[in-house]
Amino acid sequence: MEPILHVSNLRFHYQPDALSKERWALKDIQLTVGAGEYVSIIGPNGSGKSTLARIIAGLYLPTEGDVHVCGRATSNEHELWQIRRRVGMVFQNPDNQIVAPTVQDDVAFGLENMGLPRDEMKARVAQALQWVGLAGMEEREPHHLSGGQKQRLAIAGVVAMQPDIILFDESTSMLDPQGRAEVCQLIKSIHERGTTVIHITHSAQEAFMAERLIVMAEGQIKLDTPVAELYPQAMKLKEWDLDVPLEVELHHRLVKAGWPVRASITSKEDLVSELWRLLSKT
Amino acid sequence: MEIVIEDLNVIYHPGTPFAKQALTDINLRVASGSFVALLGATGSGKSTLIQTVAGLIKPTSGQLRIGNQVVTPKSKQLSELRRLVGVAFQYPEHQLFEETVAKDIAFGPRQQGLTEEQVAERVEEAMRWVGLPPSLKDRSPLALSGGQMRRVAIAGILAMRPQVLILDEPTAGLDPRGQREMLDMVGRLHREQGLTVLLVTHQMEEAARYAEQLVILSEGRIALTGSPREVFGNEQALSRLKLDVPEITKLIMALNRNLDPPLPLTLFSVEELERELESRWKRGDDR
Repeated sequence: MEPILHVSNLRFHYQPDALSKERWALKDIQLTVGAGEYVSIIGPNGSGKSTLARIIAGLYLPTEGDVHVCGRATSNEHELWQIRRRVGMVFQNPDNQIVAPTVQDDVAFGLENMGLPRDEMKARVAQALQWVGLAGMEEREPHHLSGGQKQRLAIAGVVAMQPDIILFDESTSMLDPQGRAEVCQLIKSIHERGTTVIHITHSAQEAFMAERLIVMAEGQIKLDTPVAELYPQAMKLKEWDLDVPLEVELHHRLVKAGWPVRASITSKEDLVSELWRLLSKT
Repeated sequence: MEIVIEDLNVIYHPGTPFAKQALTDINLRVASGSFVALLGATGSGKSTLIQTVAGLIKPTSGQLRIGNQVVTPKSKQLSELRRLVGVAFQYPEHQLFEETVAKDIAFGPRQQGLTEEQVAERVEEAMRWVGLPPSLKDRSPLALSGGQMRRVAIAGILAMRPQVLILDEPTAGLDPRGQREMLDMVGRLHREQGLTVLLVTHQMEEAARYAEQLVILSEGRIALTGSPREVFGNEQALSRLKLDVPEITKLIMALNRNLDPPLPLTLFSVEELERELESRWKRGDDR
């Protein structure tokens, strides 16, 4: 099957006409994502994560190389509008993404621009609000919602457009723990309904919820691996000053201290039951 | 500088149909030079409390004392109080506006009527405190990285030499390394300059690791207060308040489902947890 996203030999420079081409924002990016995948991208600030997201969404064009979304090249001006319709983006600050005076108008905003018939629009708004758990709040004013609710409203606006790919660019970083948990749960359910999800985050815990994890640093992809295979080598994340999940760090220390634990673990639950086994024998 | 809050109530739009009680019967004492973390869900009253301490909102009833400045509902002059308390609101870098880093940091002390020489001294000192190299002095603050911009904003507050520093989610949006560096910097300021620090955070890890005292707000009231050990060791209160707990506490709770006797909930670093497991393991060998 054709991949939903294909990036080849991508390089990007914010000032392509500058004489010095030393500071590439992105270099030598090769990336293929299949339909329905759940990918997370982590990396330090300035590593190029958000730039890559904007290129995938067709907001920036590659300086060199190609980006294909659903088989269409972003470099083709006639296809660009189609691509932007296929890729939805949810940003960091919920307050910057809300445009209308009521919840339902806000969800309808994007649909109005698509020129959908009114009935279909109404059905999509209702369905999107249902999905994100805001049904019953149609007439509420968005600025009276909590941070987590506002972000779910922003997600409803994107979901209603029925994109093939949804990019979350640090969409949880301004929320409180409850809002964060709500949005993470929602991201998971969007993936389960078959939408391709790309989630950019600073949180190791959130990144490990995905099926596949990409590490970016200095404008390059440094690591691209299924999360299940990442556990054994997760200490590597420290090389890029990234957080390592606590259970990975503890396991690593116990191995070094000579505990007879299994050489690799696959999850937190796995480490917990391994420790139960060892401590109950004693 | 000591902060004492007694029977404080704050009601927005009192006596109107829109009246909303934001804080109810707050009693709190923060010892001079201590590091306090303020926790609570969105809407629990954290922002109202820090704005009251900063002298930006007046109490509806009760009183607040910082050093020898007392604020009551009748207080007219809050400018002395404001001189003692510096606040870095969320995303303080959005408030940078000057052409250069040095000019931006100088803005506050210049309003305090200092000589140009004194202002320059304050700028240099504040840059050193937040770990900004002097070479950045003449750069545009808007051309710096996110973490550096935030340091410039905090330096602008420190340059006014407050006795109390309030930080509202200073690590939001920074990467893990930036978060660590920011909190280490705040910890250093607290230790070396004797600043009283009030840290508003959603991150339980930060609170557990850096603060001496935690204050947990819920629906405008103080729901729980104590050292990190007291608060995170109190499993009943944690579940009653639906508080998020540090990742390490979650891991210990998971282990405790099948360990007798349970591990203490008061281990906050992976080193401590490893030592505790190690001693269990050794004890088992001896049997």
